[in-house]
Amino acid sequence: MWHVILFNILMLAASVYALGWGGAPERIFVVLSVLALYASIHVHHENFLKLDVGLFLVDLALFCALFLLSIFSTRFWPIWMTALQGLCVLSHVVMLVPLPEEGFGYAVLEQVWAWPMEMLLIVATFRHRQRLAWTGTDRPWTLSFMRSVRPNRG
Amino acid sequence: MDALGIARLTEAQRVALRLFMERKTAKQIALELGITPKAVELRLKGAREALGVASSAEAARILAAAEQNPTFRETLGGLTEVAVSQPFGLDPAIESGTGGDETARDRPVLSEARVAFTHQPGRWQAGIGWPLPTGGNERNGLSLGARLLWPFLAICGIGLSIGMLVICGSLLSIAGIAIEHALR
Repeated sequence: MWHVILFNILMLAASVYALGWGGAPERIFVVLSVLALYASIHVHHENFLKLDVGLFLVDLALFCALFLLSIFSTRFWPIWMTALQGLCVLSHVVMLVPLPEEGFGYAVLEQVWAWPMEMLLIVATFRHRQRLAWTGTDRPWTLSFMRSVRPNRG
Repeated sequence: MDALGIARLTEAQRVALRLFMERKTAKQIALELGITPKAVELRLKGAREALGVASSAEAARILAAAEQNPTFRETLGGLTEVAVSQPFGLDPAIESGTGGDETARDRPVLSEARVAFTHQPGRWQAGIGWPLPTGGNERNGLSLGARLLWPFLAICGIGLSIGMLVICGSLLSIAGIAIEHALR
């Protein structure tokens, strides 16, 4: 279970960093990922021995949310987050292929993408701070109506 | 390098020059900062006067060179305090875009600098563009089509790469077993 503990530490660190020092897109991603995690814990009952429809729907919903984020954000990272989440969604099709030890393979494929996503969040937040330090501003959204009261710090 | 001139620059002028160095137009800078294009133009004008140069491109280059030079930054730190009452500061009304001279308002914004940077790609990339901060494009300026397409291309790319790695790993394992058997 060491990998679970390690991932929880990574997720906590990345989330705290992004919530405290990130812009609006980074913070929204944290909220989305925490909601998805919470939903996953509640819907997952199958032990990866057959297609987990609940988990699939949660992954699909997160993919759609990240896709919207990648369309409206001025950052590049949501595109890659969306791609990684897309691979997570696709991992559910593994259950359609008869493979030995499919439970293990399904579990690994479904969960492995979360690691690079959390690492990417740390890099994204770090680069947001760099842009703020350099230009004093980091506009978060492509559309002006999505700006907040303090638009330039987002 | 004119250390005193750079020390005279206000923070607002420096921010405008830094964004200008990213090859943004006055309109884009204004959108970014939440001010009017005229206010941006006036900030750049003030920066040009402080540095004694004719073009904003030159002013931006001078500031960029200064900020990349550690020795110069230290010198600048000392000079900034001296230059607090700098003569090139703009009237707050002008800075906020609520006032200002007509000449500045009517002049084509940043035209001289656009010429200086025409050999480089613009912020809004032509074609599909790369979903990476390359070529000085720190922010995502991809078109809507590219934004819709890239996640799926990335899924294919990452998926195929990992698939290839798994296949290669499996083949190497099989080859290793075969070699081991052959050597016995």
